[in-house]
Amino acid sequence: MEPGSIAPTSAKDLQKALARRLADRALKDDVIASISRRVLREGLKIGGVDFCPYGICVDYFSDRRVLVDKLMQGEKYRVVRLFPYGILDDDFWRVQVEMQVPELAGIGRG
Amino acid sequence: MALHPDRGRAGRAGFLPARTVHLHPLDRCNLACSHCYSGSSPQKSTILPVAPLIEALPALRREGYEVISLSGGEPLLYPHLPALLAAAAEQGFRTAAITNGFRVAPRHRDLIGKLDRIAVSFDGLEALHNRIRGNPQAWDRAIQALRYLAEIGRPGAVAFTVSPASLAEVPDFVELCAGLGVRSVQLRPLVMAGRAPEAAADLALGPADALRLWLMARTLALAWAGEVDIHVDLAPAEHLAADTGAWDLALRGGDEPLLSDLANPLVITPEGRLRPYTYDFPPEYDLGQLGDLHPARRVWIEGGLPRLRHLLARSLQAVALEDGVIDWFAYQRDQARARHRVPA
Repeated sequence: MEPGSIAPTSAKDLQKALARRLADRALKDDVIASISRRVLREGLKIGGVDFCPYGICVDYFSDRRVLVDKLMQGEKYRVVRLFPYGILDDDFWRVQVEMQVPELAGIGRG
Repeated sequence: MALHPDRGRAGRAGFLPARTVHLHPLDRCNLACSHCYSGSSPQKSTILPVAPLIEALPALRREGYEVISLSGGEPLLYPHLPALLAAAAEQGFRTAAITNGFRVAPRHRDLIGKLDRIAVSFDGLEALHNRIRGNPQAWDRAIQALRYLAEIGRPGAVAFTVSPASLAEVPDFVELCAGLGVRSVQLRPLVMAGRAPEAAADLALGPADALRLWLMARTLALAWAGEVDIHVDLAPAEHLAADTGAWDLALRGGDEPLLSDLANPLVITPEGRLRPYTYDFPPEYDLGQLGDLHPARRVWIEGGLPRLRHLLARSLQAVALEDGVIDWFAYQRDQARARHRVPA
């Protein structure tokens, strides 16, 4: 194979591949339930979810009644970013987290 | 990522983006799908007379409704459709129809032009779709409809019923839609109503498949962003319970609540019954007949609102205890059935 002959994989390709794994039930029921539990936290509103083969990024929206500490309980995130909405709404926060989900790549169970 | 929190919208009523009437003007259809929730078929003949329907349109506007979404039966078979659409436009309604596509063709171009939105319904890729529809031409005609809509500059939408059998076909179907210029795909879990419980009981999505579908829809929405909008009629139970703003108007009541504060969508059956939320909602919660929208007879509707408000409040309490993702309107129906011990 010629060096450089492999086309770069786009985010769209990755997302379509994950959708295909979900559609084909390549992830078992308990894995699906576990991933959903990890994404759906404390009734927080989800602004966006992004997937890659190794993990999930979730944008939550929160107000001060929901403490970030609570969000962190029982979950080890790779990255947590806090964005106060400030001028728009000083009681409103965007909380972006990155979690590792090796099952998405077929590593481990599933 | 979409980063706009959905807060504080004025006039919001429930979990729909607009206050909507689901109008079923007939139960006649040129197909007899094995899972049809309204039990429609070529043998059915109930047709809602157009005069009382047109007469009720101003009252529906006064009750806050903005959109009339036509279904059936096959709505493009309704013989009074041109008159109905003209009257609806005069009252300022936006109109939509969900069709099997057989009549989305050049000879009906004028009629199609009067609808603001047309969605073609699918049940799977070709083999599965034709099997469920009971017609070997069903797939070709539906695809032709989408091609025709693209040709005339009216890119269509698609409603795709998801069953355990069709779940695996969703990614390929969405890819096909993107190639046909479809602007949105709505993924709808199969409703266990009408003919479905007897003829297609094995087509209900289980909880794990519902979660798969919800995750898949989020993934496909990202993959096709800017090309095809992907929606799914499922939401995390926790989110529904936490979204208290959705039902503020409905639960607060007030002196003069609008019907659309509580009943969104409002279903109108081919018999002219006013029914909340779903075609198969228990009739105990019916809000009267079309004629009851007249101010002099509205007392009948007002009589049913407290019971509906009570059910809504109970359902919102109950959903807070649920796990996973749910179809809210089917959930509401099941709550109502449980209270009245109505068999599924």
